[in-house]
Amino acid sequence: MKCTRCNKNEATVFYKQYINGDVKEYALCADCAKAEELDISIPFAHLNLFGTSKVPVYEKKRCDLCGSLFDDIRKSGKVGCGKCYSVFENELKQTIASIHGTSLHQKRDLQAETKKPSEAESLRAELKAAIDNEEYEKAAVLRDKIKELEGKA
Amino acid sequence: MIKDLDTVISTRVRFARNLKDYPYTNRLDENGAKEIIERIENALGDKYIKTDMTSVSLSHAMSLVEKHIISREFAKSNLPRALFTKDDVKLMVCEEDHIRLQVIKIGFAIDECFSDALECDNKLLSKLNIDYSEALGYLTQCPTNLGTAMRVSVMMFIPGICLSSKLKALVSQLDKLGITIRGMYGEGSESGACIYQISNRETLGVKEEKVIEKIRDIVLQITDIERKARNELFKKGGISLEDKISRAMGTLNYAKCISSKEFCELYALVRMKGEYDLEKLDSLFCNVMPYSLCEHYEKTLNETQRDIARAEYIQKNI
Repeated sequence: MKCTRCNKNEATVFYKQYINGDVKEYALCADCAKAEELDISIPFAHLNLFGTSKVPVYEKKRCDLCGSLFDDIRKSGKVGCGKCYSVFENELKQTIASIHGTSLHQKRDLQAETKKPSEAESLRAELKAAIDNEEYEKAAVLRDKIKELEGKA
Repeated sequence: MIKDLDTVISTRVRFARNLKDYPYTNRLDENGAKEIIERIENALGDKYIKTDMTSVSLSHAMSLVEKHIISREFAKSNLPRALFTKDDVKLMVCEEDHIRLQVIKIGFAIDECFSDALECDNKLLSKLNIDYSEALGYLTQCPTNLGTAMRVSVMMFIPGICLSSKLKALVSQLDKLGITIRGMYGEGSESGACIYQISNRETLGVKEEKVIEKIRDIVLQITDIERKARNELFKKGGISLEDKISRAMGTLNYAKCISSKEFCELYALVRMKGEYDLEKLDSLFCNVMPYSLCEHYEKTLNETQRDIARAEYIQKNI
């Protein structure tokens, strides 16, 4: 298919635009896509999470770790640092509630958290690796350590 | 054993983490970024392979995007940043959050991904001071990720659903269940390849295990619908569908020029039939994307050259 703009090159950029039910289709070559300034890396405009109305009351308060004003967060849609969540707790509350509801964090089950291998287990893995690599001196040391640990248990 | 490869291309579990007392990456300076990279490198130990992203060419970085190893933003960022890799575990350091820990596996491997991610996460949590609050969970640059800061995504191949016009209904049902579905390279990136990414939306107020369960259940349901739709399609399509698929195989094997759009459509037809080794076909899919092709041939190729190189590459590797 030829580019619908220059009618010369092969079209490689296919772009469909829906604006309020109005559909426009483009088939362009790379040069024309550039000329038309189609930014295909950002297909959707991003909504501002924090709304666009000015909040003058909070303007003077600054986060002392990253230096953000609430207005910086509002404009960029990005929180400046972990401390901002406590400095701007009230200001962020509404946004967080509108994304997640008013729920609180649920920790993962303890079982998952303590799923770390025991010391003996990890030593055994090291021992296997040592034997595979023919490091027999290291393996002997590891073997004794495991014996000692298991003796205690 | 690789599971459900007919409908699931790959599974991914991702955690976002930030170090306490450092600004997030939108307010971080170069020195801060370097310090963070060093801390994480020390915490991970020497089993992880480090790639300094500032010393990698943009074209190589973009080929990693095409292989779903890193994000587009990470490839293009100006900050010092690093990628740490150990088998299927990959950590982007100084992406949107200080740490994006992800585990990607072929086929449907949700439990394996989750347990590998937990293992690495536990290591990070035990060695680093990670930003966390009792009420909000893990703190992230974008408030949409607060809580578990976990995203589970499953890359699904659903030509049966797409070709029988069931996609629209599926999208709206998933939306009601709090599940996001989008094109394979993120928002708005639909192609003729019938590949869609299914992921959880909820992160705050829900346990990780519950999210895993929910995604598992939904993926299995979609797999079931897809298999039925595909059977139906083959039954109804008869010789004309068989002909279309055979022609697609012919084109892949003998054409001299194949554009990426055409490749996506051929891929969908051939993969649906299960004619080739699916795993090989999927890796071919990533390797014939524009940047990956240029990387393979070690030179910049224009579009026409790429289409020729693509056809050549396919015929050598299929």
